[in-house]
Amino acid sequence: MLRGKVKAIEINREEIEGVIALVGATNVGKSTLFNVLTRQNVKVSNWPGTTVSKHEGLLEIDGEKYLFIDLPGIHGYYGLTLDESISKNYLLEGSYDLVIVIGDYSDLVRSLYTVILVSETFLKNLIVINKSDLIDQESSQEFDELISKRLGVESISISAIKESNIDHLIKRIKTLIKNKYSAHEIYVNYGDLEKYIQNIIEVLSKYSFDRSKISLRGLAVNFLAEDPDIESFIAKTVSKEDHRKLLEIRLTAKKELNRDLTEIIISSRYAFIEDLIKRSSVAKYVYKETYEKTWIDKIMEKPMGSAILLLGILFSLFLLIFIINTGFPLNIIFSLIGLEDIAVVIEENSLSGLLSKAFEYLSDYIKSLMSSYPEPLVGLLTDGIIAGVSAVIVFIPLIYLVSLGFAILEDSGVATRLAVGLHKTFSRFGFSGRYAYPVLVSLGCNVPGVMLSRGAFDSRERLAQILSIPFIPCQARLIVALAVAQALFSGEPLYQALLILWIYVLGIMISLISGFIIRRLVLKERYSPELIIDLPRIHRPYAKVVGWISWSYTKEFLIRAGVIIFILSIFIWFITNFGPEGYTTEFSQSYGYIIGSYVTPFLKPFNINNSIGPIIGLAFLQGFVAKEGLLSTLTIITGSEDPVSAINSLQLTASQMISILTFGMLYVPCLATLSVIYQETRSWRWTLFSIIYMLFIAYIVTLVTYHTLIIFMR
Amino acid sequence: MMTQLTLDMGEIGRRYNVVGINAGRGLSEKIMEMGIVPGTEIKIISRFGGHVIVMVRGSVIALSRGISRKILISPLE
Ligand SMILES: Nc1nc2c(ncn2[C@@H]2O[C@H](COP(=O)(O)OP(=O)(O)OP(=O)(O)O)[C@@H](O)[C@H]2O)c(=O)[nH]1
Repeated sequence: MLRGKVKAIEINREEIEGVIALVGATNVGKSTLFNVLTRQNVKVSNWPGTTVSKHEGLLEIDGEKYLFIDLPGIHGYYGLTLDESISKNYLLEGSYDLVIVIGDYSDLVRSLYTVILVSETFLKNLIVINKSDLIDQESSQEFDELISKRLGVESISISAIKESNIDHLIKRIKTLIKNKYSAHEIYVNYGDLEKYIQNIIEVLSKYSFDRSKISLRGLAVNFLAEDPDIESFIAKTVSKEDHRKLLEIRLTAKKELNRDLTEIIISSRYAFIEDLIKRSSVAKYVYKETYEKTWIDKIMEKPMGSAILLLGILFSLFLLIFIINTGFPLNIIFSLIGLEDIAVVIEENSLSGLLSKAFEYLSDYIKSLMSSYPEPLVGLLTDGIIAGVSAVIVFIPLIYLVSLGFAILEDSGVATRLAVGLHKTFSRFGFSGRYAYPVLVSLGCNVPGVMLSRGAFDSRERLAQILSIPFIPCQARLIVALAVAQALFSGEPLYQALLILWIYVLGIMISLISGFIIRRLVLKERYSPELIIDLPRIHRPYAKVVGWISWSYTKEFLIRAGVIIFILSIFIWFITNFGPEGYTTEFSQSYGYIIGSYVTPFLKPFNINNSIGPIIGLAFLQGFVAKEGLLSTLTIITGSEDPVSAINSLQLTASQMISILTFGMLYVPCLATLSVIYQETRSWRWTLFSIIYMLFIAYIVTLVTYHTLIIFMR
Repeated sequence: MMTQLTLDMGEIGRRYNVVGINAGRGLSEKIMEMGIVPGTEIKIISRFGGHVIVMVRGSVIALSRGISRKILISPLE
């Protein structure tokens, strides 16, 4: 299988002493614990048949290897439960030795609900309660003992951040796996339902479920609660007749009790948890009378313009990052007001400016060194390979800094509040408030934008984000648009500004509408996204967590997208430097030119002269490598001095020009973005889909634009 | 008769009792799993971006308007 081939570690199942799954509600610190246990010795792949990522990590201790699997978290986003379903089915399949169910002292009642839910059915469980640093040691010890006593299962309080009690946890994991441990069944009292639970257990006990792993009582309760995954698991095992019997029991229960069974089950579980907590001294941390509003809560409460204010905060943060990285948008602003010199200085001294310069020197140096070698070889080395490496490297500071900013917002708990504050605006288009980050970052560059889709509430929203982000006009596209605006409306700044504004409005609108299209038509989701979510406590971000997140984003980019960008860069170098006659420096002799000529029929509806078809085609092909490549290619093939005169030399009407620009803004993700789309979806199908989808939408929008324009411009 | 209202109409700072959830199966299950079950005490602490922020069983939860309209509450004390 191709999936998961590119990775940091090789996992050989036969050498593994035990497989341990981690589950827990959102925000309990599951990722933190996972990283503490595996020290980032991690492989990322996908759950089969989905775009949900699967994290596996190795812990090696005294020569023994343990494999940890981070199961998808349970998020508070209504209507989409694919992630939850994956975790449940993994546990039902039972190919693990231990499942660690994680609770959290900062949100004890809610997190224990998930703990009970899981450990009630899956017996190879070990309860871990994280964030013990928030309460006193005595209370946490006492609570562990209370759980062992009243539930009959082992519980260990830890602090993943402070790494306290982790050694003890690892020791227990080893011992429990060696002893093939199964926990006791947990007895939540379900009152009136008990009778029916017993009836169901009776039916189920005829069958050979793996009783060391699965509790029949747990199955019975979840069957009564109509859990779809458990239902189909039971239906697969029992006979048709017994299945009918089970359904009858459930129906009788409903009739006789005349109540919603799920309501009884959920309230019984909560009653059980609260009773447990009230017997312990941790209760004083849980039930607080007042909630202290933080600065961010206070900002968000302001009736007017809270969304604008929030976007402002995010915008400034990412703006700062972009200025450091590429000088954008300061460089553009300065050059627009005529201070070209300052613009150049800013651009050259930005991080990526310095990096590009270094690579330029390197490639010039090699060119001079190898002047006696054949031209194609030198070209391949410098314009192909070194340019490819530089295309990857230049992104690194950007990705690192953007993910750093993002990690700080996420870890502090601010991100969730911002998402809630912006949710209303975005939900009209089928996104959650979390789409704000990718959108803002993408205005600078789509590559980190696509990566920030990881903040989405679940895997389906994430897919919608990934497919919609590339419509957002990035810095490179702005440069193209500026050149066209100058060529078209020289000396008319108002029209220039209007054209640029139009490009932004169009790109952002289409990106938003795309959310609606993907959600309704592609994912066939009926609900509009409603939100019900835990607000985590606001705290100072932990350097360790923030460091992990930003480093792992960067590393993944390098390993996965980097390789693709590199290979594609060389490929594009090849097709623009080779033709049927072999090596050539003439664009018009290259394969690229031939490929470019295929666009000619598509230009028909725009009444564009056939002879410039291949030129536009080739420019778009180069624009696929990097959008600003559109301009340099045009300049070279038309033999012009600068981009503006190159555009003028095409002798297009204003309507044609604006249409082609519109297409150029929307048509395909650039090569680097495409590589990251693959990196994030880990699916060639969705990657290919994104190209076709964008081409399709871009073409339609361009047609509409053109035909509207020729009506008005006549 | 107790006065009943929907959660989005509640006053900030007041306590209420959850009396019912008026939603389809999937949604009402999700709401209940978050700890908002009939009979639970709920305190409204804030409102922003069209969301109601409540405190339930020691957790702070945000609910969008569409969801909070489906939760019936009655004032305590
Ligand atoms: N006080 C304290 N906070 C912690 C501890 N471990 C993690 N956290 C914080 O808890 C929050 C959630 O941590 P994550 O590891 O991202 O949680 P998760 O369960 O993986 O959450 P999702 O990725 O959303 O499913 C972060 O803000 C962490 O900084 C801990 O031991 N003590």
